[in-house]
Amino acid sequence: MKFEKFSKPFKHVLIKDFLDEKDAKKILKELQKEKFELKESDLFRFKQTKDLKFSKREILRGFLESLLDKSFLDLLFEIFGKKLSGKIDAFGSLYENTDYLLPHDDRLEKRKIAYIYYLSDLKNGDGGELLLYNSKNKIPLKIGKKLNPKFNSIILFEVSEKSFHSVSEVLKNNKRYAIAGWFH
Amino acid sequence: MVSLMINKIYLNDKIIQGIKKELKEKNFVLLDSFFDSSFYEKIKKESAREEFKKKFVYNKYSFLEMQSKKIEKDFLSAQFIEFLEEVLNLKIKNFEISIRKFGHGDYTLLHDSEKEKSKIGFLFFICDDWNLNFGGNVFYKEKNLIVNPKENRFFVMKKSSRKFVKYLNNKCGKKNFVLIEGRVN
Repeated sequence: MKFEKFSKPFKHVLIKDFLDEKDAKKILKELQKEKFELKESDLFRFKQTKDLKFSKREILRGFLESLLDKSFLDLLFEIFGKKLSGKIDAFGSLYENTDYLLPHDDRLEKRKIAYIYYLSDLKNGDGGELLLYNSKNKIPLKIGKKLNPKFNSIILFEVSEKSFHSVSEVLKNNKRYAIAGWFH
Repeated sequence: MVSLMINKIYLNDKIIQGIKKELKEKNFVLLDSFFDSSFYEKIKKESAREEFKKKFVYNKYSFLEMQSKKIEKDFLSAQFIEFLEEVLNLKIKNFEISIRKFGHGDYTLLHDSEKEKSKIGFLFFICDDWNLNFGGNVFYKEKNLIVNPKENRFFVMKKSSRKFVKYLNNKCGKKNFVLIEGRVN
């Protein structure tokens, strides 16, 4: 599997064309059938499914299984040097016009590696970018990297006190679908 | 009390008794058209004239802020303090205000460490036709209460509760509002 590894602003990996395109399209189609609920707090506004582990759609459960495939977990160990439990959280997310996720570090007990598998393409000016921050002493200081969601690509990063990230507000009438969660 | 700046209707004894009762029962009260309209226009003009500076810490807040001796003086006026002391039934020892402007992309987040320093606080909004879907709504977390921006709106909260200003989204375009926040001890 071809991947690009980056160390700045914090350790992350990008894998383009993660799955066979046909399979990715199928996953998107199935995900769109899931029920999305509006989630809102001081930090975010977007729509989310329940944990896909409990989805009745086999294709979605199959996607999670592929993330937990031994060869993929071995690759993650090689990249991040973290031993993973083989447990995973996975939620479908949908960001539409005015939805956002403000900067935070994701730290919560058991979360070791965060991932976002994109099922939409967004371009400059659409919003919905993933922003990664440079930080010092647990304070995000500057945007270190911007990534436009690309269909069938996956980004993974280590959850740490440095892993400040956000999703910029979606500015147009696009639908930004993704499956995101954490490896424990 | 002589009406200099506060809308006369709020200086009526019966109304004041009603405000006191509401504060006692609910710990908060919302008073629209709070200042006399000419006085409201005056602070609106003053706030438009002043220069605001960007303040942000990505994981805490983003807004513009300014210091204005004039506006501070207005809020520290004898009539305003007297009104607060009367409705809150206490003697004010300390009083500080912040003057912030919120526009597209601004927000404040809840922070555990940011438990309100004082028990009593107030909000005052300066704005034009604010649509609730723009964001900018002030959420009082523990109270499960939302205060929406509206011109000349005054809001008093008696008990400490963590709060945040909801992210202002692209629907607000170039519109913004000024929030004058006071803390009383």
